[in-house]
Amino acid sequence: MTTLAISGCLSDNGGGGADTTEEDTTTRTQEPTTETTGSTNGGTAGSPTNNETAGGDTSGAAGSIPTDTPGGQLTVWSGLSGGTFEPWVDWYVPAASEATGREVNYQTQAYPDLRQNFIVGGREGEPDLLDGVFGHLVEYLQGDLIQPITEQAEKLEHFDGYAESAIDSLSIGGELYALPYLGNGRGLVYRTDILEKYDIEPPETWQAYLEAARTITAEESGMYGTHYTTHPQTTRGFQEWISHLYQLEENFYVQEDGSWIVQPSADQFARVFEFYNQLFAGDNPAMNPAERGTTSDVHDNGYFRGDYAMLPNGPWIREGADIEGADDVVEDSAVTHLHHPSEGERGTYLEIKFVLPNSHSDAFNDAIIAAGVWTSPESLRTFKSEVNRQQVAMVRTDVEADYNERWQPFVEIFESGTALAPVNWGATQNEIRTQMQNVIYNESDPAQAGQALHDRVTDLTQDFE
Amino acid sequence: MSLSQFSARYRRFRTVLKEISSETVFAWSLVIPATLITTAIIIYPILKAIYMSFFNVSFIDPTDMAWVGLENYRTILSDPTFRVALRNTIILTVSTVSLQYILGLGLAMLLKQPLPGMKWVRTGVLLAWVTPLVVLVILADWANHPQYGIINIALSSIGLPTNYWLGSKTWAFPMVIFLHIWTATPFFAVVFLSALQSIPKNLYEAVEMDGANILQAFRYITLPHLSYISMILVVMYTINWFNSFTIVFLGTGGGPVNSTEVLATYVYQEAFQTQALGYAASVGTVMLVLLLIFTIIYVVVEGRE
Repeated sequence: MTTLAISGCLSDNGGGGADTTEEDTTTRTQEPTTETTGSTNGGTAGSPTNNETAGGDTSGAAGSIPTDTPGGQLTVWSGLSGGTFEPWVDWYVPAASEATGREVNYQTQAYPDLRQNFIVGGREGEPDLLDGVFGHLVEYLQGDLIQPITEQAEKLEHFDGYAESAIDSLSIGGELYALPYLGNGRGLVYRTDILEKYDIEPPETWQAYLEAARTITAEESGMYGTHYTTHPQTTRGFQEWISHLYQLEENFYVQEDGSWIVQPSADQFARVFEFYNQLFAGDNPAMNPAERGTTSDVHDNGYFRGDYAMLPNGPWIREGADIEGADDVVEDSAVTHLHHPSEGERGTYLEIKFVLPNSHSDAFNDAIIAAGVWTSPESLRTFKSEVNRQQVAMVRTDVEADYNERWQPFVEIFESGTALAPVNWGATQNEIRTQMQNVIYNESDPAQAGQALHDRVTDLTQDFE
Repeated sequence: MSLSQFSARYRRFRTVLKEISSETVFAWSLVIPATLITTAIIIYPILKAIYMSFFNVSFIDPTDMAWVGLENYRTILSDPTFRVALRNTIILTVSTVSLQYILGLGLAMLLKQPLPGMKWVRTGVLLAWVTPLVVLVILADWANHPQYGIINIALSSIGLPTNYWLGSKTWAFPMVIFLHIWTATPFFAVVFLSALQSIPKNLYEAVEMDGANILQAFRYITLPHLSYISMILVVMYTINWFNSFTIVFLGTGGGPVNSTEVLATYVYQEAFQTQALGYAASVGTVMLVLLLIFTIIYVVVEGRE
């Protein structure tokens, strides 16, 4: 098996990076749904022509990007499925149609399906534009499915409004491949009422966190201190794990003398595994042992049902809560930085979502224009107000997040985040999940798991180019 | 074979071919298109996968193929996860098909009884079979939920321990087996029921007059009449469950700690997550060979009996 890594300007440090979304777990499948609009062949307010901004294109998305042959359809694949996003989609599709002079065919799929379908069929030219998460960017590049868009993107009128860190995270080898539209970092969400009841300060270290969680398990009837996602196929589990690793070491993979190496030591891997091991230790464990192997549904909904007092989670938890009684829990919730090891420092996994054009599309420039519309200030403000996802503000300096005081820490948390290195993470994720399973089910101790993981990922770097 | 024997067989072949050609042209014209389509969508991918198994191929760029010969097959021999998946697959297949057969036959014999309301019972039995597997797994996951799953609510109400059973190293695999049995036993029952109903009643009357008891009647009348349909069901579901993917993938993901990993989910993981298409193809080829061996042996043995 050959895996490739792109020698790029990035390390894991700062900026953005992403993996699959919190909304779509690896276990969800969905038939593509299609929304189209009838804006055709340059009929509206002038098609974008060379060096002219599209008439009516208030987002300035077209800028001076040369357009393709007008008319025809522009197919867009998105992972933003569900009725929640409809108000924004209702804005986006006409706006993109107007800017490109094409009929926009907007389809939704779960991210794992979207990735697979694009890898398998993208060379046929469809879709023209797709939604993505960082782990997929390198795969698409290795598969020759995407190409740099630096020159065209810099012509967008609103280009200067992108956060530098977000743009850096989507650049490989000095070239930009995608445009960002959403960013978030994982913090600690906790119940203020429960912590106050037992006179517990919001824990800053792993040890304090475990002690607090065990106290809550022991004292609060029907509640466990915390929950972590440990299902063997969920990406959320990987994200939680690597959030803690980034508190011990700045990067996972780094380039040295043209080769990729593993920066954390086996002991550092073992430290993270030890934390997971301790979640289930003791007579009043921090986490319910009967909930090993559960998914993010249990994680998120369980918090609002009052099953847990503290969780590693992100801003999506607030916006996705629709179960009965969730509002009361929200009122008694707060956010702070994720707990870190005493020898480490604050850190978390940084997720950025983006859109990127298919290099095999026969409407490549129009796809960039459509990407510009998607990531424009107007679009993200619409997204913010209609969908209530403040995370879109993280990737632009000209869009402000309207978090209230309770959720405002997510802004600072985002800034402390670390992105994934621009390598192919498939096999690495599998190995991390495998060793995590071994630890939480007592098949191996943390030291063994740490060493096994280190050996395996070191082997993987041999195939990185 | 002597020349005269060969000539006789050849003449016979020509005679039969001529009969078929002249009398069943219309039938062949109906069969050939379906055969061609089947060849295209089944045979070609199988041959392609076998071919790919001798290469190092990445899912990311399948056009870039590097010849490795038997290296993938050598890797299989030393792959501990493959061994676990193979073991689980065999256990799953043997246990589910056996239990489905026994339970399905028992259910069929029950349904055959002329009791009031039996047609509604038959309808209810079929519901489990017609439920899509995806729906079944979602329901099972819900029922297993550690906080509000109906199984755990029932268990806690009688003082028994609760658990996320699909996340339990001990119970996840039995739960997976149960789901397989749950979904397919009704089909066995319905097929056996129709077969049972076709057995002439006078055969049972005759053996009863000869002094045979119920078990003897079952052994010498019922079972032989079910022999052919049994063979079809066993072969069909052995192949089906040997290739089982949906319940495991959606329910447990192959975990915890590979305790429910089966060959089909392992192939998927290697192909689309680890991105080792060539290696995944080699595992798939091994599955194909094992199933072919089983099918040939079973059909030959059954045919002799």
